[in-house]
Amino acid sequence: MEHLLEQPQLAGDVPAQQQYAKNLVELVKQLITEKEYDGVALLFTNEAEAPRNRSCLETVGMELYHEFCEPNLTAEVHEAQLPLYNCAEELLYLIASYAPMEELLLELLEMIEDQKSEFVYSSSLRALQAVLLRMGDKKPRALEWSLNSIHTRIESLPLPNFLEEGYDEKQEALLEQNNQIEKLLMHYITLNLFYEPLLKDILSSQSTSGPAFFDKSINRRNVLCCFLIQMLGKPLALLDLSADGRKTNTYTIQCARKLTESAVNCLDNPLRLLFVGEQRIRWTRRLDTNKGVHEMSSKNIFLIEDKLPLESLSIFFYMIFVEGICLNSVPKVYAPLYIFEMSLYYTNELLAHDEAALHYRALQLTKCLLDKLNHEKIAAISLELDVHKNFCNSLCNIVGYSSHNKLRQIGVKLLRQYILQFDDEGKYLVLKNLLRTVPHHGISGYLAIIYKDVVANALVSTSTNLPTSFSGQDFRTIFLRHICHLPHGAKTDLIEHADKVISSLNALRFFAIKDLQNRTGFWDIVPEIEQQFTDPLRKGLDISVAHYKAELLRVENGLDAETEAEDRKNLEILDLNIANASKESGQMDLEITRQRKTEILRQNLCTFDLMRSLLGRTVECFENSNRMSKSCAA
Amino acid sequence: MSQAEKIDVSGDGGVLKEILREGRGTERPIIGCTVFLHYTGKLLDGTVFDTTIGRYPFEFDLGKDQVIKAFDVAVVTMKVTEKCLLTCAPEYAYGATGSPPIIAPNTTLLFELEMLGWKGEDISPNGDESIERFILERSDRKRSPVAGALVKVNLIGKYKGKTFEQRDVEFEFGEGCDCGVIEGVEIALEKMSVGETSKLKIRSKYAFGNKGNEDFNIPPNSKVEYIVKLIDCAKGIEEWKLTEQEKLEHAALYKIKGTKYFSKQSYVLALKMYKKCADFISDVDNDESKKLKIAANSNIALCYQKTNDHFEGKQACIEALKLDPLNIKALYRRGQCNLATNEFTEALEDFRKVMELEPTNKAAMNQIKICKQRIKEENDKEKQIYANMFKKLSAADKEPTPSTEPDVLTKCGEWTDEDAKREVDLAFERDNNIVMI
Repeated sequence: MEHLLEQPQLAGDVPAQQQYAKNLVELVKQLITEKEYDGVALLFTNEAEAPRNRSCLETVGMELYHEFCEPNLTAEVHEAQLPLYNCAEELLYLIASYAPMEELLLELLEMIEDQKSEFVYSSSLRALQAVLLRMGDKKPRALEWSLNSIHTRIESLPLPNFLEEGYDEKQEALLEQNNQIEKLLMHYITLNLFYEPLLKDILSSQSTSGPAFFDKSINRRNVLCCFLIQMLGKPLALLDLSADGRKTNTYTIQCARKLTESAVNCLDNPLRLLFVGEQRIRWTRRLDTNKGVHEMSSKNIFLIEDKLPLESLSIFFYMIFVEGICLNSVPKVYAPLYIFEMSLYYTNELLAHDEAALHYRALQLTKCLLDKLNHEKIAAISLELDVHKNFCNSLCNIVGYSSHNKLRQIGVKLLRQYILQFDDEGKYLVLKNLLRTVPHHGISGYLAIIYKDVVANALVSTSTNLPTSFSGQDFRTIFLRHICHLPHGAKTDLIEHADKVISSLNALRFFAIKDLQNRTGFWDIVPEIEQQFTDPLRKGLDISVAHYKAELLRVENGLDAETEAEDRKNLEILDLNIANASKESGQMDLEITRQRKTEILRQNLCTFDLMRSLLGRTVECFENSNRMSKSCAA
Repeated sequence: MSQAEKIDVSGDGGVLKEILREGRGTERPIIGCTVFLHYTGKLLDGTVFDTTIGRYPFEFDLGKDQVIKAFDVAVVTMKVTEKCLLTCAPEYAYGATGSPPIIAPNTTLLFELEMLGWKGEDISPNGDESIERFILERSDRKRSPVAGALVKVNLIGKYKGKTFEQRDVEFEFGEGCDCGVIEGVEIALEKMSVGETSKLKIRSKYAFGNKGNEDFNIPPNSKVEYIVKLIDCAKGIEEWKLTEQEKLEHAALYKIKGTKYFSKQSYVLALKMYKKCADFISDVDNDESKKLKIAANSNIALCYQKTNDHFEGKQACIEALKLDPLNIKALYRRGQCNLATNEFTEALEDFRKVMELEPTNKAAMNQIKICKQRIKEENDKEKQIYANMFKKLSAADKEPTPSTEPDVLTKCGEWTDEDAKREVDLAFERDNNIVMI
């Protein structure tokens, strides 16, 4: 069957042209009705007809779009009549290549945001790419809107709950097996196909020659760059981004790698944006509508939070430093300390989120950059920057309260590494301030041990005077105010403070044995330590042991029947026994409670024993030394 | 090239500079400038380990320890277009650590540099170069002023090269305008470290604006220059460390400050202080904080009224009323804001509530009259509009229209516009004096 269009007589004959275009629409309609989809394609590929027909799309392109593309580019058509869908998709691509750009662009954006089908997403991105390539450098805002629509769509994809709650290593290995994650990654892969030609076009249209500062205004390159980095944020950031040689989750790293590499291509120097975190957090912008300063008004696109969220930028730096993507593009002349300090803003940003996956990346980023510092010490003066204080607090929160064992373990090592990276004064200041502010007694105990260790190191490595931070007044302050400190004297809850007390006793014993020459000034403060720590501790231990022993006796002899009865009553109120409301089961629950109670009481008594023994040995050291000094004097 | 032609730029032989091509002019970049240049880093055996050739030039802020020390000490000595070769001892490059795997520990390196240009640091909020900074004397300290911290600065203000002010001034950061410190200087101070001296070029919008300054003889829309030394700054109040009682104390202080600025008619600063007062105790939940929050929001509303921002004023009243729905001052002020934004019915309701709570409140009584008058006027206007509409319609139907005679009785006993306006102003002034907290 042949379909021929009636050719107008003259090229400049406008009504004839219009008629021709109208006929074209009719013809396409007829061909589609007759399911002659190849015929439609031929109209625009056939050497003889194609140029004229394509030029008609300028006038009737949108009509064809509304008539054939819009109704047929749906999930239903894709499933029931694939050839028709393919025909509509091809037609859309042709329209995108020849029809008026602005009008179609808006239609495509609507399609991207509204249509849930991933096939339609893919078809619309293909057309969008053609439109944006045609637009060239002229309209960065159009690119911005387009990318916003894509971001909105991807952000709204459903995700499994465990991404937010956190997952263990075994679950992590199987992340890509989840259907929702698979779908998400398909979107990212399609996205990659979409932006690559655009990126190529953008990069080829600019030159690196000529003495000019890097342009940070809202242009195509910067808009795309911000978008690429933004896409590294959630939800992708919650997946497994490690680029090791494993066999699973290969799509995730492939997507993250592509995004990172492409963003680096835009920036040339990946650390060009390292300043952004400090700029945004340390120096908040003074918004003032009278002066035209509002959130979106900056001439530097990278300073606009909406365009470049810090969370995503943090993941970008994670990819560079931890996963080593494009690490070779980083200029070698940056000072490692500068990189480390700037990165703390990103670490803090990630630690401020709720998701364990982000906490993990934060810790890894800091560890990686601390490793790079190697022997270089962080000067105490750096502690004037709030970012250090905030990092310490966030890290201690993770170490003390994270529900993920792995994070607590990495965190505790990192805390030690971080403190030890400071110069002597810095170490002292961090430890002193943390001991003063951290409410977690386990961490306080750990910090006391770190201080003991650094002073011990100084005792071994320095033959002359110790640094002032490890002796004299500073030593006295940290020991008396923070390490050997019982907040309520003898009445302090020793079980709650057990870790801290044990660490403090260990530290005391250590100095009593290792600093016989009193280089730290330890022996000068022993009387005060005895008065405010060891004596009240002994008294507290006596009271506590007596109390716990009595309690144990009561529980073992079943004397706490009253409490038991109350417990049973509570259980009944809570309706716990509805399912198997036998008397036995209720009793069994209480039996277990009693057993557990005994266990806990015994454990606590053991802890008191340990403290007592340590206290005894420490006091013994004090007394030995006193005897020695008396005998020397005699 | 002989050793004699190498310039020791670090003063200890750590960085030796050999000029390969003389630069143009006499100017050199100063600390704090953003410079851009090409560089090639080589090992002593000639192996290139890093270069910007074929890429964008490298940009960094000079003298801020962003790069290896050799760059900071050598680049300040370079002129534009100059090309030089640096020989850098390890302590000015990668030190004992090196940069594995390429650069071994304690390696001496060569850098070829080509200076392309520099510019002052743009610290304007919009990145539009309205505030430019050049560091004249850097400081190793890192502390910078934060809101509420006491700062001590030395200022030298210049216009067209002539000094118009020179003084030491102490103020709480964020409240500089009370001591005549322009906003541009405050913005710059936030980025300065204690001990630092900087030259600032400030455009009019962050200096004396379109009014200029008569005392200093500065015409409107003028760009000025300041040399600022940040002598000292205290640490800001670390809110997270404060106990509830301390927060309450600080909030009360801010309220007092707000009242001080209000009485000086510095409404913008007063507003800032009252907002801080409310912010400080936003997470404190007790009777005392509630009282303070109500007072702060009520006064925020008053400040907004004074600056003619009645919409924001209304929002502040709503905040106060959330805490105490029967607060007379907040109700009265919300009524005033409603009146000013032509929400007459809502205003009437507010004033009526005030009357319910305090039947002797004359100001509210007057306001009710004004509201009623305004509502009436509004209704009349609408009537007129509809009447005109019908008139037109009927004219279209070519039918004679009935004459609309004014109803004299409706106006009887009511105030004219002028009366009403006078009453509003009087009531407002009277009220402010009475209810100022």
